[in-house]
Amino acid sequence: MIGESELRIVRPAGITVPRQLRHALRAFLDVFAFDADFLDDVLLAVGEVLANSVEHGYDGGSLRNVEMVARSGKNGTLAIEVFDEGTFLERERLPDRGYGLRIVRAIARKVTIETGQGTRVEMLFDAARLQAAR
Amino acid sequence: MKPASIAVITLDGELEIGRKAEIRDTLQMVESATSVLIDFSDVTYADSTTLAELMRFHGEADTRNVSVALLVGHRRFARLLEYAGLSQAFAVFDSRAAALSYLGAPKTT
Repeated sequence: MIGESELRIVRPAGITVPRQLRHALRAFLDVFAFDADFLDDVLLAVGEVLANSVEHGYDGGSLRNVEMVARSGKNGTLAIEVFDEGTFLERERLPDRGYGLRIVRAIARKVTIETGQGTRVEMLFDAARLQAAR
Repeated sequence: MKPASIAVITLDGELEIGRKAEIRDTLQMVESATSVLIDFSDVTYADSTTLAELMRFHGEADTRNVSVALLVGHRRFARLLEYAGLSQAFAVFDSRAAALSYLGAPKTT
């Protein structure tokens, strides 16, 4: 049985970062042998948040940092935080750009968005809950 | 009656923000087409970047009275549409033959 583990990565918010961090997260999560659909869904939700971070991570040509922290818990739970130094982009008000946050909220058991000196999005996932919903 | 002219647009790999411009460039209406099959069979990841471009394309197709079908190779794409609340927005198929039949292609044996 694998105990609690943590992955933490900090990168400048370049356009390739969402893909890089998704791949790193997949490698980290592979060891837990989660259900394949659950893993796909987690990567999708985290990818949406990372894409949002990158879209507003540019600051006059210099790149702000994006930080991703993933913590595996007991009983198939997973907490993933994405922190960036930009302002959260609320795209739900735009007619064709509001899908990202909707997708995240459909997948995660709980989503918390904190803004202030940057934006922190925390997502809690529950493998058993997502599998039961299918 | 004008025969069906089906354009096929193919995307593959990971469709995400880093390929936004490429996705937009690929999802362009073919002038002579009466219908369009968008082939996602070899797509391994897609997110809201793709959905936004798909919705733009779908809107343009609607105004031209062009039918659109999506061919998908993995159930994760259907879930993406479901999570975004777009399950009913597209005709989605996991079989090329079924997608082409929907678009009005002549049946072949």
